[in-house]
Amino acid sequence: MKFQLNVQSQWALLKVCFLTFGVLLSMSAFAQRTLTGKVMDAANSQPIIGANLLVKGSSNGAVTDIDGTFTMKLSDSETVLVVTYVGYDTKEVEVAGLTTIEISLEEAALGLSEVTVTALGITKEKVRVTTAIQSVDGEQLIKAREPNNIQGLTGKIAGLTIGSSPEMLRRPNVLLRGASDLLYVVDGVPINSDTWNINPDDIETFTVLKGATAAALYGFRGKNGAILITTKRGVGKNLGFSVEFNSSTMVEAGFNAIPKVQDLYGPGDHGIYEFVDGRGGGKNDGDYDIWGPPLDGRLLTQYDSPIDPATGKRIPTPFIPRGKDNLTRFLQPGLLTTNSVSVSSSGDRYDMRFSVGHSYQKGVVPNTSLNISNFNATLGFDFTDRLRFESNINFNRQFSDNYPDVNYGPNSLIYNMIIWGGADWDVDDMKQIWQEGKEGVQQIYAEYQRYNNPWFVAKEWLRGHYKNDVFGYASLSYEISDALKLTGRSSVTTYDLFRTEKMPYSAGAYGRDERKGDYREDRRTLFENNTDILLQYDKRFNGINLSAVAGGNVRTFAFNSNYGSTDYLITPGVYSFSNSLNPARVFSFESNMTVLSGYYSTDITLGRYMNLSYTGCVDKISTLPEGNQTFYYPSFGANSIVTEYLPLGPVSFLKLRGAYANVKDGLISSTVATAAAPFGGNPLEYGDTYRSSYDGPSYGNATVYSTSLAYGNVPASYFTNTLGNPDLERNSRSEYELGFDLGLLTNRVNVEFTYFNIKEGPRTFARPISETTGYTGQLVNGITTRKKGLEIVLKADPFKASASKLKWLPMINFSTFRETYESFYKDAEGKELEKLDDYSQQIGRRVDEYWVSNGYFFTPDGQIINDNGGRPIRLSTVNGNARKLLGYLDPDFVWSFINRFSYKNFTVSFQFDGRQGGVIYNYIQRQTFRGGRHISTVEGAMGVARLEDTKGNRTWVGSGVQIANSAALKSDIYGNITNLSELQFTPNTTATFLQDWISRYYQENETNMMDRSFAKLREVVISYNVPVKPGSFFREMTISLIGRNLLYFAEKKDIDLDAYVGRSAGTDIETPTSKRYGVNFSLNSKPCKQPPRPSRGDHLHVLTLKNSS
Amino acid sequence: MKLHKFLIVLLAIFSFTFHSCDLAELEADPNRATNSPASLILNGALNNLYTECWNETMRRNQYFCINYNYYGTNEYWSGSASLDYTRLKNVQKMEEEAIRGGAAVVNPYSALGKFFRAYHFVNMTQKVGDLPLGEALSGLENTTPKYATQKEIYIQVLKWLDEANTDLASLIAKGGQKADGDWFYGGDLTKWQKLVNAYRLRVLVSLSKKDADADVKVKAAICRDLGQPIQVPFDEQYRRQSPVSGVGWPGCQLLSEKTQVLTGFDAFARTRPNCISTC
Repeated sequence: MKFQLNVQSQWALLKVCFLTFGVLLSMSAFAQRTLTGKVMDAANSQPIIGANLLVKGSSNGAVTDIDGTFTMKLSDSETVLVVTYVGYDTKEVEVAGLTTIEISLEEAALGLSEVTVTALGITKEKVRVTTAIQSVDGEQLIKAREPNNIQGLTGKIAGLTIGSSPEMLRRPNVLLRGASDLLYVVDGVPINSDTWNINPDDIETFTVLKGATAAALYGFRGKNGAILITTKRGVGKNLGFSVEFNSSTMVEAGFNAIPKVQDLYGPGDHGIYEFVDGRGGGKNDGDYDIWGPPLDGRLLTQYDSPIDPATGKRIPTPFIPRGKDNLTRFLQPGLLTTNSVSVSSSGDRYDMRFSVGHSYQKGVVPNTSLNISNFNATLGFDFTDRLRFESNINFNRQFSDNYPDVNYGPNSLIYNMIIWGGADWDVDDMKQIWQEGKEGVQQIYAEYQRYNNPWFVAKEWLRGHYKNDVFGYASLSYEISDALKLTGRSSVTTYDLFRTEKMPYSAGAYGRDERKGDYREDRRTLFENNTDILLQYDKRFNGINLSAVAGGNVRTFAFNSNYGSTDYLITPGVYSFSNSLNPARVFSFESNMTVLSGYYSTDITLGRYMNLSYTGCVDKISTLPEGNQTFYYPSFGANSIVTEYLPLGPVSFLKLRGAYANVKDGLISSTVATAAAPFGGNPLEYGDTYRSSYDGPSYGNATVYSTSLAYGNVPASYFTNTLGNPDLERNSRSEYELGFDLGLLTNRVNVEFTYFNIKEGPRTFARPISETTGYTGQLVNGITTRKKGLEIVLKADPFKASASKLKWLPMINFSTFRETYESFYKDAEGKELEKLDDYSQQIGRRVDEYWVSNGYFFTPDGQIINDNGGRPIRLSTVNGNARKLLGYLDPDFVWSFINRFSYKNFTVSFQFDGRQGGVIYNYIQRQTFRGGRHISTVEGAMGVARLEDTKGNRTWVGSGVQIANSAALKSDIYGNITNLSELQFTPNTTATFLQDWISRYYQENETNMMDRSFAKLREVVISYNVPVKPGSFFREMTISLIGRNLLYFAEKKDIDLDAYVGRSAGTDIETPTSKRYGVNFSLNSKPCKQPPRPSRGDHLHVLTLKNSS
Repeated sequence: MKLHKFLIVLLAIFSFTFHSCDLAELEADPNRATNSPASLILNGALNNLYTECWNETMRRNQYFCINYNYYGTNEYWSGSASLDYTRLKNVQKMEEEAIRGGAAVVNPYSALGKFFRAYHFVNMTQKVGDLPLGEALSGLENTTPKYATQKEIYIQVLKWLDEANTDLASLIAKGGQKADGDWFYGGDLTKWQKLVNAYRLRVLVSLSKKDADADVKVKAAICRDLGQPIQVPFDEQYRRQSPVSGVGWPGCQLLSEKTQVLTGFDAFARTRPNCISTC
């Protein structure tokens, strides 16, 4: 049967066709699908909140939420999405036909969209910045910790050199391009910081403005550069509340540098020792060297030999090395634990964050500890869309009931145990501390004239340190229009410091020979207020972008301090000024300062071609004589992103930049010491001088009397030896830098290169004048130096945008500089001086030359010249004006090498860094040789001669030559022999005691010099991201193994050179340094990246929404 | 330009609001004084006479030796010596402050000042010989003062000591005069006078080899001086108190009576061939 469609079915068919056609038509015209997806960070698969997705060519867009997910409705014709997020490379994604998608964004290394914070807390795109700036995320410092948080920045920024001291509470020496006295700024507001009051758990980013060019807007405070700290704030907008927790525990054990000493010979001199009273009543039993008899069991009277009741004299006991390894048995493993919790929350109109942190350090020296507690609260509130309030307050308290003072002297454990203490007594026996029946009054020890029992010092000689440090600000900003914003801001930075010293009865120190104890107090209070008004202007007109800031600042500064000390105690153990044997001494100091400044800054972007910046600052400072108080100084900068207008093949990014700045300083001291001697030395003859951060008037230009206590505790006045100058002008620093930022292979390799040239001066300095005038110097303006240097930062990301899960981020930081004298000043006749002396102070010579005024003589082939006694001849006996150049104090270069690997959930990072070049004299070597404790004195030929010494035999023949014909040496002012032709040398044949030869040979710094280079395996962190269940409150949980200072490489290991950054010519003695290792645990309820706050008129907002082409 | 106007307006606001702090006032150091009472400077000047010693033995002896090279050697050295001009400046200031405080031209501080000058110049010239004298201590007015010969210095020193004696005598005669701040003799000028004269004799004896020189007239000066009241230099109390090392003849025992002084001198002189024996 044939299939036949009747009319009805024909019509139905047509209807169906039309319907289908219609449906198809409508689908093709309005066909919408829903696309859902997730945007993640390619490096660690963390969701990105607030990423922007935009259909290419349209305004259809979406933003990701707190989970990084988004939903958008797309028509069939909308097939390409452009995904952008600040700090990441823009990505274009094909979405034709897709309903779900996962998008990974790569972090931009030198990308165009990267943003950085600059002076005054103003955020700028990195592309508009014309100076050298480098940043480190706070995250990098919170796993492997150091007691001082700034030390975490070591090796992370080219040009920033940090010398960490192993001593508890001593702050690291921080240098930027060779200059110390940096400005610390928190959220745009300068604070007074001793580097201990900064908690890295609260810090989002550290940004370093390297030099005057970057920090010019801060006026003279920014002269040497600034470290900008951006604190963490509440997350985004309406993202609920989140919690962060971080905890580290590290043990300090395993020495990196410790002096090696001999334990074979005891105290005494030339092999003779006998204890009677420990004060010289016996044979070499007071203030002794360690050149005594061998510890071979012979019978001698010692400090604890029993007393024969019949004769009242001590019965000799065996002289044996009871004290082998005294120091290592005395020191204990140290502990460092840090814990920090923070809670943050944000709503429609507000964002806030509170955090509490605590760090506890138990020192390697017994009975020493340091606690640091920190509380931080930030709050932001939008009254309206235009009016915003922001505030931050940080409270930090450092407290220690005892910390050690290792400076050279009887207060120092190294002095007592390594240099001037032998192995004849056992440190465990010294735990007794007091003599029997004389508890609290008389210590027990092997000697009673100069030295102290180490356990007595650790348990009874107590130093307390208590500091409350507060900084905070409140600011109100009003957006007058899209382009104009007015901000008023007031900030406070203040601290209260209280330090005590309880010196027990019978303890001895330089200048305190009566040994009757003492009590001292040191109180310092600083208060500083900064009030700013700023007007910001941002406008775009056809391709030209103009940003300008104008503002004014008033800074008021007030400081006062007291220092009081008893003059011996009446009753032992009562530490109060009312218990002073002689009248108590009290000193006071106060200072006030006001600085008024006005400043402006303009940034002009000329399309894609160029950025220009220009700043100017005027300030009036109260520390200088009237008439020289006000100065104006400018800075200029320019950059050009060449790759924006010129395609350069493999070079994916090239930015050229240059900047110039001039800053004028004025009679400010960055630190202050006790009220007794605020800018001078130590009021005591021993111990460390504690300097707290100050940045206030130094009163250097004062022609005044100084008063000190003289005979009978009555004040005596002395008139100054340095004349002031009523026409004194401000120091000047002019700096220019040139550099480029280069990206190769789609920014897989990034290089940042900067050349800087700093003219420092004319400085204010005390020009020496003939002392026959009655004065030794006059404060004048003079001495100008030129410092030239380089900074190179090299970063790579070889696995960028690759499918593999392995990520490798190596980084190298390199910096070097050299400073030479450029000019001095005009003399009385107006003639420019070519030199100030015949040694280092001549035009063209390096400023860091190390000259000594005494040393030895050498033959042309390098042999030392001895006198008839067989001991080296010294410079000063031949020509007292001779000086020798022993080397340079600055390093040739400073480097660091950081590596980060990550694969799936594991991350491994390690850092090597060091300083290469320069010389330093090794004081501990000098003292341990001359004192008889150095290990070399018992090894080899020296060991043989030493034993003979104790028998009274002179057997040591020193190296070098003698003058055969007994002619006298003549020398020029550089230690060069001028009458070589008259001299005949023969090998030295005179035998002496080893002790006498060593005492002479190692007396001068020349024979104690060592290479200043060193390298350290600074940090190792091995982390594992524990996978968290989706939907759990905590989004990130990490467990890490951490280690700091794990390996140390240097020419000699009796001292750790890390602390000796800058131009110190020699080492002091220091607590042996150790490695630190432990575990870190961190929990986060939010992802690691937080988006910036979008706001009206903020050009960041504009940038992310704009089509990227 | 717009920006400059902003800046001016802002600065104007600030100068208006914060005018209360006068910057000029804040420049001076509030902790240290530009003037000081002469008594405090005297304390310091007396302290500066002290030559440090380790113990009594070292204090009593003119020469000593070190045989422990950690602390020093017995070798000759060359180079510059330490001088006392800054201490002399303090002496000058002491005299100025005394006058400023209302004292008469001849006052205890000016008299003692002469002694201090003499003492310091003798110490310095014994080390290095010729030194600036008249043109020295003028501060910035003369930064290259002319040198005087050692002879000129000694002549001036003797003159100072002589004038000091005369001044002290007149102050003692006036009565009620005291040098405040004197912890050495408690302000007692008679004791100072005796000290000054003893010191003058000491200086003259040290010049005994220059007896032939007509300008100095050593012998005549000694003889004249012995007519002045001199306290016995070896008075036990004095010796213990004295920080002025060297004022005391080593090996000489002089007694309090004038005759005994002469005898003592005589004994002393006989041991030294060039020393003047008697008047």
